[in-house]
Amino acid sequence: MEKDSAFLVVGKKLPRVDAIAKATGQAKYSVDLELPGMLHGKILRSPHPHAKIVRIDTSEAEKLPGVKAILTFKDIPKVKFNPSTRYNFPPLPEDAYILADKARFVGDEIAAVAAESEEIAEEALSLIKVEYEKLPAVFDPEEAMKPGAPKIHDWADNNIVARISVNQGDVEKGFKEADLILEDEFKVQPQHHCALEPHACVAHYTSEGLTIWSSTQVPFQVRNLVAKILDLPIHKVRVIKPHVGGGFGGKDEMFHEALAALLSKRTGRPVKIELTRAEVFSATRTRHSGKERVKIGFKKDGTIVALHLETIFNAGAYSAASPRITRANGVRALGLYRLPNYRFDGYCVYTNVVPAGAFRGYGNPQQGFAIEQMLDMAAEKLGIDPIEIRLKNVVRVGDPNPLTKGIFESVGIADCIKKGAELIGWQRRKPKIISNTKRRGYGMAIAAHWTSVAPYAQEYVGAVVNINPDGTINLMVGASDIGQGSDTVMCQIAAEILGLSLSDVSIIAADTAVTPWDAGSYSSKTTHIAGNAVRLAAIDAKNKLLTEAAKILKVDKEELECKDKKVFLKSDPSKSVSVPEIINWMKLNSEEPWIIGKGVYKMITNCPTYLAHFVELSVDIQTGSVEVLKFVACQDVGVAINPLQVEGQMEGSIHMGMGYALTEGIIFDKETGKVLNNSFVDYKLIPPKDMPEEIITELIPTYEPTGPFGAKGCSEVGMTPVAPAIANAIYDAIGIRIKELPMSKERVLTTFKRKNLK
Amino acid sequence: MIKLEVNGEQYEVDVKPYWTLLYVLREKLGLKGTKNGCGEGDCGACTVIMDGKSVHSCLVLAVQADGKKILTIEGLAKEGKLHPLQEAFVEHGAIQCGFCTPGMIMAAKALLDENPNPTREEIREAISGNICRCTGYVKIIKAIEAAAKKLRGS
Repeated sequence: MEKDSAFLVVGKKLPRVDAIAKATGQAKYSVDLELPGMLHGKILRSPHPHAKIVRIDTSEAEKLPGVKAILTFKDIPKVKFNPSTRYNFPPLPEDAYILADKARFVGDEIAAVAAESEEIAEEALSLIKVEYEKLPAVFDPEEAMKPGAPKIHDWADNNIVARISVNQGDVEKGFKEADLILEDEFKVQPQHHCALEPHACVAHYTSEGLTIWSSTQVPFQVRNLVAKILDLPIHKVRVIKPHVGGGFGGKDEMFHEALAALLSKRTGRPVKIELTRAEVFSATRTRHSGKERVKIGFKKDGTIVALHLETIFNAGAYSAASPRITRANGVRALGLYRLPNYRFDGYCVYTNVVPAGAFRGYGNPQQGFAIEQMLDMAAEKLGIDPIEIRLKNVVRVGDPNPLTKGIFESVGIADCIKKGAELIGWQRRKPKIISNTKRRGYGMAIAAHWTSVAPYAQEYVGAVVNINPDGTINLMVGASDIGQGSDTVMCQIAAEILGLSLSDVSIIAADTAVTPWDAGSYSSKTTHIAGNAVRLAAIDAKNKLLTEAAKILKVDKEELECKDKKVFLKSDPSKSVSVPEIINWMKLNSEEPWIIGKGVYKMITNCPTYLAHFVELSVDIQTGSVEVLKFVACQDVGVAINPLQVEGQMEGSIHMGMGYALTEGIIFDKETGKVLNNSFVDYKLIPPKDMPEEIITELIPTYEPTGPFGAKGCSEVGMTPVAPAIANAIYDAIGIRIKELPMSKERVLTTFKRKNLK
Repeated sequence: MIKLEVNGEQYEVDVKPYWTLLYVLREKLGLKGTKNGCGEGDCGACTVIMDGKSVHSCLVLAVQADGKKILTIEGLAKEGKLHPLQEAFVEHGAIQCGFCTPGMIMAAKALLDENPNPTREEIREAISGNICRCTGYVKIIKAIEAAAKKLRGS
């Protein structure tokens, strides 16, 4: 691919293709859909964290007028599955049914009702009588691993879902060579996605097939799982993704699509399942909580010689993607630092709380909180600036890529660090004392995030470009826009190749009956992989267009270029033929009187995106309150296809990361593991007034040769450096190290007081 | 039976005492632009303007809306021309998933109707009842500032 700065559409801050529909209320989400005769599905949930289901009596509920179907464990296909299955690496335990065979957390799904209205369905739930035999429960992963702990799934000894190891070099040898060895332990809390649209789907099962509309990040994965569970051939299952009101990983699995489909099959009517906010909080997914133990060895000059990371993640009641996320947690550091000797030992463990799952960062923020503080601790001991110790250790262009066995081809992290330092004013930091009680601090942290799961998983995507008789195009691609803006990026890439403006492109995306395969929107892969598929489809269409035009103009195809729905001679643009003229000519003279471009892209390498964060904050030593005053984010996404959208991802990530750092966290009841803060009142997001007065986002351009127009991934990395940068700044301000999230006022204050008592 | 004006149209709706204005708008009048993010008055996705004031329509009982004038997101663009707030949200990248957008724009409209020249603090205050999980509010605030400027100029 050639480098080209003279882009027409790519690299421009263009508004999203769906922005007007969203600004006017026209955009339809799954929650907005209504079909004639549609029923409403509701789910009966377990009030116990761990219990055998002795008996379920649905007779009273069935008598309620308006109730059309009730399902319990005895009525469902006995097909075990894992809702995160999309490829085979690493293998994921199949430990779930669409309704539970026994209750494994407060909120587990025991029965389902379809009724004429939500009210009737809810009333019916209250009439279902369930007799439970309570079992001992366990909520802490380390307790769950001990001998004698309650067994949550029969297959899993010591409740261990997976043990994952990653090795590079020899850590023991590395530690022997170290001049300084630091060891420490950090605790991270469960965070909730808080996508504003609740999980929702509509299923309609007819003799012609099953159609599902779902608020999902992974329509093809949902299709495959539903087909498996309901024993349908794949062509009879169509999953359509309407507009999605946010995902962030929280919709990266199958949720209630198979259940809605089964209710629809039973009743012969469309069925909608829409979760309440309380259900979303207490019974979908969280970020993994757990412990990160770090042992890290340095030479005197700050060079890392060995790093050993040990992780224990609380998987919750079902495996879902836990083994994959644990493994991801263990390879994050390999994309960021030169680590001659590295070892990772990770466990994910069943407990009786809501399952953990994918969430922006996918195992990255947890290890980043730990390692990025350790880097600062080492820098202080060695008398090196935090910036210098990172510059010394980060990977560089040409370094071996430990995942692919190739090399890193685009690495902008050093420039991200240098630019961030300049923008925050690292060399001219303002004085510590702000007032009697307020102290100023500066901190920084960095992160990398692999683009996609390649080469471990088969990551490939297809796309189709149809050129219309007027020269406009229809683009079909499997990629799921969940709010991040992939539809716009796909349209930009196709428009750029074919010399069109964005308004000449219409997209159909993420409809499993129409668009080619895409495994889903996760792992910052969509711009890179789906973007490459679109690029190839557009190039294929362009080649066909130029081939036909060459026949008309009687020149070599290589002499031609296309722009603004015309094909012209590069050496003399006045010699041209319009696309409508070409299509008309093809109708008379060609075997195929239309142009369809096809593209399939398989990810062959992996190219991390890089991010450096710098914060200036104040800490009130009387209240423990942390106020972030200024935030600087510098990111290398390769070439940004749409810088406006990249900025949006960076800014949203700062907000989400500040929540992770300071206020957010699911609180489990100590007796039952129940989610106690299941509303936006009790789960504390950062409000607009607590966002920093000054936020600077800066793109550090690099060029990734394998990316479409040089682009890499973007959004997963965004919140990883926030918490450690804030922790490092708190240390700078008041000299305390906080090793547990969130760094709430109470925690800051008690840690500060404890230190000053010593 | 309640009578209400929505986006300039008169409606008579048979309601149950516990129905909310949000339920009437979405389920009875088919105005799905107003979103339900929590149903508990905490997220602001359901914000509409009632007699000039922004309200969380999930906290307003339908009977409380009797005789009131309601403006929803569907009533904001006139004859296909976007309101300056809508234009600014589009141009400034203030929209990502878009689920908060209708409520956010209505909250901003109520602010600018009352205070055409708000400070950044006043904007932050006015949207403090509206949760956005995508944008960090940065571009939303910029868009509201730009729309306010445009509205003052015209």
